[in-house]
Order: sequence, then structure tokens, then C-alpha cells
Amino acid sequence: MWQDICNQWKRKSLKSFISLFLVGIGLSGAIAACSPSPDNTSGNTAQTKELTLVSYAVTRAAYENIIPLFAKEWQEKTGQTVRFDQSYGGSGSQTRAVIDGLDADIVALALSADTLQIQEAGLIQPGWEKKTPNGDGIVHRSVGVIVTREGNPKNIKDWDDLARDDVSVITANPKTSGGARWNYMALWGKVTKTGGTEAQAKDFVTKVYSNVPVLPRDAREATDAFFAQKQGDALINYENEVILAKQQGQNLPYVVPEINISIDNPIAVVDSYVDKRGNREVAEAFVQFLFTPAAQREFAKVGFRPVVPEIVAEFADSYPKISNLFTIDDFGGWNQVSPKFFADGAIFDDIQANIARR
Amino acid sequence: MTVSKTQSTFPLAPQNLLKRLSLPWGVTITYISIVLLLPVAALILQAATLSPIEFWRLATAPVALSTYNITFVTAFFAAAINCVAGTATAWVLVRYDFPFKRVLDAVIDLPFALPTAVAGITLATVYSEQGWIGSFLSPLGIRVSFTRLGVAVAMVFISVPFVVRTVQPVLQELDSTIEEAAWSLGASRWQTFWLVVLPPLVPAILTGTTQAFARAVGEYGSVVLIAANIPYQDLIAPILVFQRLEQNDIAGATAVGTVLLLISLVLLLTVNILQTWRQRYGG
Repeated sequence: MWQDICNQWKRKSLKSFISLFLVGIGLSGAIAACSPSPDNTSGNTAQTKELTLVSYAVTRAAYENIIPLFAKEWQEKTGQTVRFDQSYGGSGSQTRAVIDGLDADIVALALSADTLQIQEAGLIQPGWEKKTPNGDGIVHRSVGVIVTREGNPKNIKDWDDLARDDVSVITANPKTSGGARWNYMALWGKVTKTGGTEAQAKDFVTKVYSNVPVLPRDAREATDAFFAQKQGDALINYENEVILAKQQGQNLPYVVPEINISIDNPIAVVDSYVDKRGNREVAEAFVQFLFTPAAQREFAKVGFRPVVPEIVAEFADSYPKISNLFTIDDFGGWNQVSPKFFADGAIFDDIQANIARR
Repeated sequence: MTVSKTQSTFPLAPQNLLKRLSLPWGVTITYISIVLLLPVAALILQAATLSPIEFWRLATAPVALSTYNITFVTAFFAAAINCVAGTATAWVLVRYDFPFKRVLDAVIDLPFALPTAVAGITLATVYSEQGWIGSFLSPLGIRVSFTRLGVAVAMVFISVPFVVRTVQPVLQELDSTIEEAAWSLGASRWQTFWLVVLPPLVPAILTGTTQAFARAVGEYGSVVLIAANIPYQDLIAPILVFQRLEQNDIAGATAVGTVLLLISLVLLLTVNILQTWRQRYGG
């Protein structure tokens, strides 16, 4: 009986297998036909320019307002129409996509470490920082904030409170999330920039991370874990995220610690791709335009701290001055910070192993 | 696609030359090569570019070791749960008639169709402390979401269909008169199940359980959302692979991926050998 079934099944399955296989071939052909042709010069006639902007998730609100302003100005100046393809996602994933061949003319990422990775891959020439009007490559800034539950029941006021035994903290994994590296460095600097030693800093950071019940992949997922899944008492986040959420009707209590890290977000033109696509002129013009008061105002409106003195003054009320503000350069820049803290077997791995052993 | 090329590289036992050169055989070999063997070979070649010492260091890092343990042990429990529950489900679907049976039968396949990310986010919400199920468990001190238990729940969820779908057709072919014969000869219900019903089902149950286990080992999308992903607690190997890729650590990702592949291969082969052996001597 069993044998019969087997044989019957074999006969049937071979036929169906071949037909399925052919269907599969047909389908993959159809999918291939649907995917965009790798013809990059399309649309780059004398009259229209197509620019690809690759950025990280939260900048969308600003760029959607800035791009029309730039397009209008460019049209008046040169008579050309500019069209933008925009891609938003986690900063780390976007970086990898650009290195793997996503033709981006301009990259606006969450941290210089990501831009440096693209530079190391040979797509951006060294010295991109110098090409911006301020000479540092930074297009907007932010600081770290601590978001708490409604009414702040645990009375969380500062970084120190995150190390308390009765507080649980949500922050993304700094190994996978560029943004979470800022959070980590803020905690580290809270100790070392106020006279503490590195050993004390490591103790403090270990305490905070032992209060972390979930280690999401990126800032987006961390926000979800805190709000949607109701995990944790406090969420480490950026000021710009919180301000944007507030504008969208999510009013959350948050504190801006007085000892804080300046979160500097870089912008760069991707040399290899603009030269390949013949977009250098318009891409560089766009980067310059981002430093005009009009564009900086749009950044400031959606929560980013501006980098042009005129606009800084204009928004002085919305963005309180931080008394003890340190930058990543105070730790030797990302080139030194990344291997020291986040490489395999470096300090953060050590901290996690220590937490596991407790 | 040229068939002749692949044929020369895969010499079969020359029992029947005509059979070997048949179109189905060529299609099969070409298909399996392109879809399955080439990517696996690429992974192994990628691993081969590492020096043995380096490979060993990356593959046996403390974090990596803990992820293998968590992945395989949790997947084993998930497969065991599905082994019992899946067989029972198949039994009910074949032998009983009840309203909405067809609906239930269709629902079984849902984990195949559902994007795993959707499954993960849904499970994480349902089993969180405020969720429909989680809120009943949290007074008992049981936390599911963002713990290793959550990983197990996700693995069980995505591997539900395997055992049910492999056992169902065999059960349908089983003649219920055989059971009646056993009862009429004085066997108890338990004896009937144990000695008459179960033996023909064992190969199917084993196959389904193995598939469920293999699927649970490779699961990423739903687990990443319901687990806390904290190393040494509930970080599973596929997620570690992805994390290493995100850090541009291709070598580290490859090493862990290769270890997963090898362990899975050995386990699948063992079960296959057991099956053949059983059919030869026990079946």
C-alpha cells in the first residue's frame, strides 16, 4: 500500500515539478523585466537633472520642504528642471547600500563614521568636509534626550538616573545602530568629561546597559519598543526625533541633560557617482543650498539644531543652550572611537559579556 | 542554459545511460545547481578564504557559541512541541468532522504565507505584558515577549504547518478498519494507537519534525522582533550573522553562517539515514 502511494506520487510529482519549474522560470523572467533598467543617464538631458539623495529616516520631513525650494532656485538660475529620487532608511543600512552600488549623488547620514566608510570604499574623495561652507561637513546637529513615561513616574532627570536599579532603559544596539553610538558616547562622556576615569565610565555604562531589557536593531525599532510594546521606563533618543513626534501630536515628557554630546550629522557628495552620472555641478549646488538660511530654517522647524549663526539666533528659544557640550572629536573622532568601542571584542562587547556574567 | 555541461560534472552510477541523459534529469540538476548548490558553494568558498585559525576564532567567539546553543536548543523544543501538537492536529483534521473544519485546515498554512516580520510584530504585541495573552501570563510571573520564551513562541509559530502537512496525507490513506480489527481482537485504545496507528506514521512525523526544526533554526524575521536580541540571553545565530553583516564584518558573518550550515547538514543527514535504516529494518 505504502509503495503504491509512493509510486503514484512520484509519477505525479515529476510532471508537476517540471511544470512548476517552468512557471518559476517564467516568473523570474517577469520579475527581471519589471526591475528598473540600469540606465543611469536616462532623464539627464540638458533640460532635466535627476539627483538621488540617500539619507536616514528622520530627515525626510525637512528634505520634502527643502527640495522644492532648491528646484525652484535652480530652475531660475539655469533653466534646468531637477528631479529628486529620495531614499530613507537606517543610516547603517543606507551606507551599506551605497557601498554595494546604490547610485547616490548625495549622502546625508546620521554620523560621519558612516560617511567615512563610503570614503574608505573609494566612492568619496577625502576632504569632503572642507567642501561645505562651514568647512566641517556638518549640515545640522542635535543632542541626546531622555524620554520618559507620562508624568515621569520614576522621576528621571539626568543620565545618572538611568543607572538606578529600579529604572529600565530602552536604547538600540550600538553595534548595529549608528544612532545608538551617539547615545553610548553621551553616557561615556557624562563620566569622562566631568573628571571621571575611563574605568568609572565603563562601570557607569555597564550599569545603564544592564538596565536594558531589549536591544533593538535601530532607533526606529527602539522607539517602537518603548511606545508600542510599552517596554522600559526611559528611552534614549535624539532631540530632533522628539520634537518631530511632538509636532505629529505625540506629546511626551522628556529631559535634555545639561552634560551632553553634540550629535553632528554630515553631508557629502559621492564623487564616483556624480562623475559617472554627470551630476557634479547640480549636486554640489544642492549641498551649498542646504547651508542657506532658507534651508537651515526648514531643518530647524522639524527639530534639527541649525549650523548657520543667523538661524541659530532665530531659533534660540526652541533649542536651549547646553552648558557642557562635548563633540565626538573630543574622543579623537569616529576613526578612533569605532575601533576602540564597537569593533569585535572591543569595550562594548566586553561590557555585554560582563553583564551576562552577573 | 546548457544542460550538457552540468551533466559531465555530476556523474551518476551508470546504471542506465538513457535515463541519465533524460530531460527531467537535466532540468532537475540544472535547477538544483542554480538554486541550491551554487549559493551553498559560494558560502563555503567565502569561508575558505579565511585562514583556519581566523575561522575558528570567529566561529567560536563566546557570543557565537552562546547563539548556537540558544538557536539549536530552542529550535529543538519548538520542533518537539510541533511534533506532538502537529500530529494531534492532523489526527483531528482527518478523523473528525466539525463546523469550519475547512477554515481551520486553511489556517494551518498561514505561517507559510504570512511575512515573518508581520508574524513577529503580531506575536510580540500579543505576548507583551499588555497583550491579549501576555496580560494573563504576567501575573504568573511569565514574560514571553523580549525573552527566550518569545523566541520559542516565534519558532513554534512559523513551523506549525510542517508536521501537520506531512502527517495528514498518510493518515488519510490509513484504513480505519485496521483499528477496528485491533479493537475487535481485544486491544485497548492505547495499544491500538501505539502498535497499529503510530508505526506507519513515524516516518512522516519524523520528516515533518525535521523540517520544522530546520526551519526554526534558520528563522530570522519573526524572532528579531519578539526577542530582546541581547547576547548570551536570547540572541540567535541568524541574527548574529545579520548584525555582523551590518557592521561590515563579512568574515565573521560567513564563519557563523558556515557553522550553522554544517550543523544543520549533519542533523538533516542523520535523520535521513535513520529514516532509511528504519524502513529497511523496522518498517
